[in-house]
Amino acid sequence: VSDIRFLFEEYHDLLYRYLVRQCGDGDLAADIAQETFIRWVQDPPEDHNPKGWLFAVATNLLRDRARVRSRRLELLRENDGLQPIGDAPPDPADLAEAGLEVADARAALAELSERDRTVLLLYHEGFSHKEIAEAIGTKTHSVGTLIIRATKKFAAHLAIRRTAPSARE
Amino acid sequence: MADLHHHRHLNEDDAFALSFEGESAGRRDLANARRHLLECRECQSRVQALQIEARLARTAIEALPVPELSAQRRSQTLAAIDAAARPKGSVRRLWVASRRSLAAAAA
Repeated sequence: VSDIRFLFEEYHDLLYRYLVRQCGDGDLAADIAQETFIRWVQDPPEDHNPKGWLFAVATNLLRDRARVRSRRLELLRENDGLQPIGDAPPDPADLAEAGLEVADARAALAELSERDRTVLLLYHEGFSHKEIAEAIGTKTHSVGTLIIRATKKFAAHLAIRRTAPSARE
Repeated sequence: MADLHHHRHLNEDDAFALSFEGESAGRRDLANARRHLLECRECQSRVQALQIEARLARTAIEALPVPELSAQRRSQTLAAIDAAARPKGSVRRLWVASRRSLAAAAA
């Protein structure tokens, strides 16, 4: 228990912030962070950097949730008239309230592939190239290039939204 | 021939190290890239553009709001993790033990 407490104190807030930035939903991020630590307790990895493992598992869990959500939305579209249950997408009015810049940043992040988004967010969480490589399952020497490409794409999406208001619709 | 590397444009790795991490990259093999950068306007513009994009990305990401986790949610999470960390059957054993000690006290 003391090991997991130490891991929790060391990485939970970092993981939660990363997940919020990934999905834009605080409740979902808290759920996934909890589930990630429970996975660690139930089946602790051997010979693995805890930070890389926690972030990799959390990213996978988030991807699974996104898949379920998108399948649910597909079913709703097929069965027009039903309302979604839980995990509703963010309200556009809320996004407007939160400020256009935040909405732009979220939209630009959403335009990236999952891998690019993960690389970019982990880099901005202060991960080393080695840690990013472990979290996304690639070689350390490729990470610099991945960060550059993700940054360029993200900046380009942001610029499009800021210079062409129609892109915001 | 000795100066050939001076004329080679920066590859993405070097451009990354010089634009995003500068001196903190701590790579000894950046000396040639730095020398090239001093002489090449094309690479200077590339690095400058990358620095602007990196700054833009950092500002946008750091501006994303992160709702603070309530103390209640935090302790729920800790309780769930602690429960998962307990050996299987220990909750049942604790419950049985507490029932027995209550029964013994009552007798």
